Amino acid sequence: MKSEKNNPLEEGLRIRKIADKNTLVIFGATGDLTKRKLMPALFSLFKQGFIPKEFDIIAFARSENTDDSFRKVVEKAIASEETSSDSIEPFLKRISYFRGAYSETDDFKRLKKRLEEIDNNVLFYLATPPSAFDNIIHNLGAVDMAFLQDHWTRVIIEKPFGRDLDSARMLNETIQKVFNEDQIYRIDHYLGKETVQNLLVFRFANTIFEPIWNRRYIDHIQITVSEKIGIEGRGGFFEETGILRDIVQNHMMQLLCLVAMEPPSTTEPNAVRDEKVKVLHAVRSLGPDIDENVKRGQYGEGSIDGNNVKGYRDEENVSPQSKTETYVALRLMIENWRWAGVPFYLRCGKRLPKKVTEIAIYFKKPPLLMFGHNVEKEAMANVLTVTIQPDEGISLSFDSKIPGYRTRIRPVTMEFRYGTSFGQVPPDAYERLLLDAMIGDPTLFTRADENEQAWKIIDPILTKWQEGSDIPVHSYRAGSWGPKKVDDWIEKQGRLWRRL
Amino acid sequence: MTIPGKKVPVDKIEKHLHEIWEQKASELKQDLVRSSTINFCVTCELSLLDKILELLHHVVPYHPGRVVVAAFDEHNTSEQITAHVYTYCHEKADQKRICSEMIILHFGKNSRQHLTGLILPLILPNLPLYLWWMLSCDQLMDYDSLLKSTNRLIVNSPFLRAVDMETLVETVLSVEEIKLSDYAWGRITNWREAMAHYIDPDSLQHIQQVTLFSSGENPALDAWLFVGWLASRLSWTPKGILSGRLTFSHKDQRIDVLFENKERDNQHLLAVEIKVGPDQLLFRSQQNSIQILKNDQFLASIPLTTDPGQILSNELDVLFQDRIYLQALEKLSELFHFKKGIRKDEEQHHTY
Repeated sequence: MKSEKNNPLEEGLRIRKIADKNTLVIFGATGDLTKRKLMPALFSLFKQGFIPKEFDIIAFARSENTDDSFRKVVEKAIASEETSSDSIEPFLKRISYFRGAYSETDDFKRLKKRLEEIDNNVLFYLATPPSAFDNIIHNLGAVDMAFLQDHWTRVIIEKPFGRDLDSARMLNETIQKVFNEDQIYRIDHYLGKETVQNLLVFRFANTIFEPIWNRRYIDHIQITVSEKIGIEGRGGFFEETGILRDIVQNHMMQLLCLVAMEPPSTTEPNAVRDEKVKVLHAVRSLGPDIDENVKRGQYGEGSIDGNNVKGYRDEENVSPQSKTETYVALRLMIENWRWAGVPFYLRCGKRLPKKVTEIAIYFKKPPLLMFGHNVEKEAMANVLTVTIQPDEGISLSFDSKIPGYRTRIRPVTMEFRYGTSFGQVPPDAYERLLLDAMIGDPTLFTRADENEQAWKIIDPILTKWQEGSDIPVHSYRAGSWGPKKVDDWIEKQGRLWRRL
Repeated sequence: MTIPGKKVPVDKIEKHLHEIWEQKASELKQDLVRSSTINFCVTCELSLLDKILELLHHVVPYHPGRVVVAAFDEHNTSEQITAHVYTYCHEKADQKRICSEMIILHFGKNSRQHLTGLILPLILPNLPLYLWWMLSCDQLMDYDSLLKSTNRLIVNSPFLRAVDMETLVETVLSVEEIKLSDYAWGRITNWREAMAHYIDPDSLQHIQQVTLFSSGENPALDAWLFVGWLASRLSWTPKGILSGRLTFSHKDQRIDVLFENKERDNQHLLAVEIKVGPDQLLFRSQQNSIQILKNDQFLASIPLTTDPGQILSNELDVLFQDRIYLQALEKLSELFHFKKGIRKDEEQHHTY
């Protein structure tokens, strides 16, 4: 193994390191995630030479398959107009199929034997439903695969990481019995997105924003994750999960942390993650004020793209009396010196008019008395918007005089768009995260305490909803921007949802 | 030679570009985006213009902006300067057409003094100016106003004569404001990566011999830069310089650097062989990759970027001064001074 000593030759090299040679074991290899995300990402990394040619994939799953039949599935998943069979073939050759059951220790013994023959670093990827996590981790420990002589081992775990605080803690305990924390990579693909990473650069590499990034200048912040799609046939899963667990606990909490965190002293993984955890610690407990600060909704029938769509309760595998939320809006307060008194509004929903994820920073309005009362009414607050998807970029709106003899004011925007400013296509989030895990950089992965702290914010809401059957689930028409009651709720606080 | 674009008077370049944009916007149904992220100015001999434009057409989709190419015709003694303008667009997956603007200035032998005066007003404000200088460095020093406005100067050291390299090293090291990068430095990036990644840091202090195989009659400048980099990173001190062999020392260790040249069409680094203790590591280029062998056993391979457009595009990604490059140059300068002082008698026998 290479020494961990500082290497003077590495200094100044801009292009990232290349992953060590390794064997990737994917549990849940026949699942949708492997087909749609992992294999295309791995193929792209392989093509670009970011992972060495001496790299193997062991596809572990329960169903019957051969190497050839599984490779055909992968080939179909990664084939595109730009890829020729010549370029796919070397990648496919690296894949072998391993039939096994997650609960069978004997199957893991066979896997160990295979890995011993390959004699390589090993990255385990748990791309299975969470119900399989326990068995897989237990068996990896039982057959002594968590630590190898002369090679590293790491494990990537897909979300959902727990379904509440207790289960997250238990899962952490289970994994930490077998692996050390520095071997565990909890993946949240939002952190692999270029615009999310740019948030740190935007905030801390520019002088003009940071001095006004606080309660003195910011009125409130809105973080929105809006999806046009419904539950896409996953009724059973969504009934158990709901959007609070599915999106807010992980993706939105990460965005909140990156917007609100203090500058880390370095970009070392733990320096960044420490600052994120501090934000979560500073979020005021919702305690008895949950009803005041959290609103939920559920889509009814409506229209999307000119097509009639079903209401949530009419979807397959969904109870006609379901109270599962497909929309949620929260007001969180961060109790620290920087953010005291600034509300953070988080809203996310399914079957909304368009797919967009963005963070909008609303600055305080200036007095503007010198322009007269009518003009003051017309004036808007400055809004800085960071669009995470789909058209990644940053825009700043400010007021400008409409040309003419009268003083009339209208907001105009200054825009930066990744797509038109940089020709490079940013790497897919999974590409970035898989490569980071192979390199051993956990910065963009969630640490155990971070995950548990996020659950501490969400858990009381789940408990309250579970206990209080009288807490309303506001209905909204599919294709609208959410329940009217939630619009009224924010208006009563003197604010409006951003029109997206 | 036919220069592409619309021929326009040199004092009406902006006006004609404006008209082209207006016309384009009315003709095209697709979303048209005039994108400006950089100013990119290239100076070259007229004979290279076709090649340069072909290269630029590969680069501007990644770095859209205003491109000014100043082409010098040594055979044209007139004082006339001509200007051609056009827009270069590429379509993205979302149907948006991202467009850059290209300005080509054609200078005769006796009109080169107008270069700065013509280029400076064409620079878009608040955007960085990259100047890719493909003429000799002696000429570069005549354009100090242009240099002062330049954020990053890119040279192509294989185009330079040895004397240029020395001049460049000394000039750059004396003017801090110029942020210099080198096309040849970009070309050895993958070699540096391979070395950094596959030599154990513990064994770096035990390197005994480095042999650089490069193409051409003399050691390629890539090879010199590589030696400068290695010697600066590992704090080697020059001790001797003889034809085809350099000697360095570090602590009590003697390090020999040998140059082996092989005839090939291009002037690139082909392989680097390192002797460390009992081991021999070989890094060799092989079909767009660098293969790494330890004691003749295959260890790994990493991609080698050979596409000139990609190398140039990488250079345009950065604005800061690459300290490591400067340190490599400093070490080369030390080597040149060492050679002048200690081995003056042999100087004329060696070209580098």
